[in-house]
Amino acid sequence: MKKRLLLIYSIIPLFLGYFVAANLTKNSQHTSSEATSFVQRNIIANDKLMLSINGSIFSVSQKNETKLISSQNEIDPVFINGSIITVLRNTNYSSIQKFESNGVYQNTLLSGDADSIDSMDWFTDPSVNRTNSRIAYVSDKDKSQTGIPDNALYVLNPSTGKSTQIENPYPYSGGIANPTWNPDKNNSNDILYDYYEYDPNTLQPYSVLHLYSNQTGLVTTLTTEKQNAFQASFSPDGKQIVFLGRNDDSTLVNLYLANYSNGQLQNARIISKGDFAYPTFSSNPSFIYMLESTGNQSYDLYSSQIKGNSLINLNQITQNAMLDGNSFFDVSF
Amino acid sequence: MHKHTASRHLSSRIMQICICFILAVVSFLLGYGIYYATKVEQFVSVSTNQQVQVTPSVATLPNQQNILLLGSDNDQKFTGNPLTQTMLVVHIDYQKKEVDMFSIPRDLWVKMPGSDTYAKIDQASEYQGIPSAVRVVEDTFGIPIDHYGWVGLYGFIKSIDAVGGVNLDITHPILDNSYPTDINNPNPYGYQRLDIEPGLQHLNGEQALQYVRSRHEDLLGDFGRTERQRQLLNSLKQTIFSSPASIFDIPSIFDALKGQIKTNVTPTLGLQLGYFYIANRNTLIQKEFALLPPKYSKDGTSTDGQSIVIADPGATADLVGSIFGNDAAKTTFKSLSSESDIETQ
Repeated sequence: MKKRLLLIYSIIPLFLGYFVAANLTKNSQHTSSEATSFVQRNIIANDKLMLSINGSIFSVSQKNETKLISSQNEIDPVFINGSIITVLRNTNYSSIQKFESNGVYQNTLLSGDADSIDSMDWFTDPSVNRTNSRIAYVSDKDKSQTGIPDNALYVLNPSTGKSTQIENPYPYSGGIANPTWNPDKNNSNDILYDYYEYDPNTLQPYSVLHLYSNQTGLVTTLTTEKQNAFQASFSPDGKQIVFLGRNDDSTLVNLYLANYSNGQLQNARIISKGDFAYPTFSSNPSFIYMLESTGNQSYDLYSSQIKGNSLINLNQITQNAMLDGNSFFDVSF
Repeated sequence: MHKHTASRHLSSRIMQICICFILAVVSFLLGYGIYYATKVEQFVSVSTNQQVQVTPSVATLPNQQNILLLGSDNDQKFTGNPLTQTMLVVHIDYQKKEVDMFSIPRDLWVKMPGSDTYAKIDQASEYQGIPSAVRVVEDTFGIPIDHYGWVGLYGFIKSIDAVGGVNLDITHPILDNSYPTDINNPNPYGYQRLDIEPGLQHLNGEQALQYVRSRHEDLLGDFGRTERQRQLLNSLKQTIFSSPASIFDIPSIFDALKGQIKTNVTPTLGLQLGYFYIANRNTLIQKEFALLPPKYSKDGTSTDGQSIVIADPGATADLVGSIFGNDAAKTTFKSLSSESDIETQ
């Protein structure tokens, strides 16, 4: 009897403890095998979101959740006139592709493929203007510069297939990223984007927001070196901008809200600080979406309300989505 | 009487249950501990096989330690002792509660240990492996190295994956048209293109390696790469010590690193360092230093045509003195003098 008790209360827990430790270790090796789920109630009413999860494209709203494109390499999805534009990413190049609203492939708008590795191109960060008639993107396709390559800004007319170069950093400055169009119908051909530079004294990289005005053909710098701004987004009426700014002493970034008028930023103020990426306005300008990470977990999509100069109610929309810079999402206004 | 016996029987029963419960809990914890101990034991047995003797830390002040971190491109096409392309001294002052990281440029032109010849500092390890790398740092900067840790490419990837990846702010876009395809590739002599987008990202081991290894298209060259390596180390440190739950990662990290690293940091010291960091993480002073141009160094060319980095002896001595103490700095830079045949740019 006593021997049986000893077995039950010592040997079995001993093995159990060993097994639990081994199992916890196994589980702690974080993998992306957990399925992604959506908390649809946290999506703002009337919004339709599109995002890339592990290379597949999903469309999600308060009522529906659809996997539109099953793939491993489709990223950066954006809406265009009911259809979808994505970036197909390969090891050495990328292409911009068009799909029907149900996810059926239509055609390749820009292909970075070539016979030799030196001739291949990156095409990334597509953004569609208000009238769905132009697509801004960044690419290293201009090989005329020698030395260090970087991404220049282009605008594609999808009807003619012709691209126009808007700004090409030269000599090397660090490159361009994240173009976005002004949705305001009076300034709908203005493009806002990140421009990376190096401080000539410290040689440290920083970024500023550049605005290209189609009316004047001029480029204006909207932010300061100290703000170290990047990843900007217009409100649906084009009167406000949210953007991120890096801190020198922290991995957390500042979330800025600013008024926008006549090509100038006014009253840029910090409304929150966190491990954020890609703040984007909802169709309701009181709300924004952004990627956020807690601890060292990978990024998930959240919605949040702007109240005065603060951000309140951070609500999680995706769970275990493992989102990152390649999962850039789009909101249909 | 009957009632009294029943009560005594009940007490005895409760006592028996308590003892069984305690026994079960202790056994459970013991089993748990045995698993961890096994993992640590396996790890230590591998590491100590590759241990080398470092110079006794004669000049080390009480409560201070210097740990040399080394990284090598020991890719598929490599044979022999690898170069140490990453060299970083972590100086820990337990009294001041300060941790300083001092990055050494791989192309720094220095006198090789036990020889009159000059070469890039990352080539010292080609002679006798890690002992030479340790000695060249000690001789060049006049500082004692108490402990070292070396990691190769595969170990780097595995260690990042073991902690579930790292969150990093990519501070500028990185385009690299000639990144080597020498990891798990049938053609280790080939190249691929990289396009790393700026902004906050969660990187797995292979992506993190690409971020810290790419240097061909960085305006700051190797200094830019060193900066990215320091950034990753900081992120990794935060990842490991960010939550109590990360203790569960320790056995898997040991598993991942088995045979992939060489170190004389014992598990006991590792735990002490971890405890020191966690206990002081809110007040810990953390500084980073590098021999950045133009103040501390300049580019040059050796007589055999190599692109090299030449340190400014005075400015570097001041910097090293401020990090490691002035006594160390006095013995510094015999190796960095202008005795060698170099041209500056």
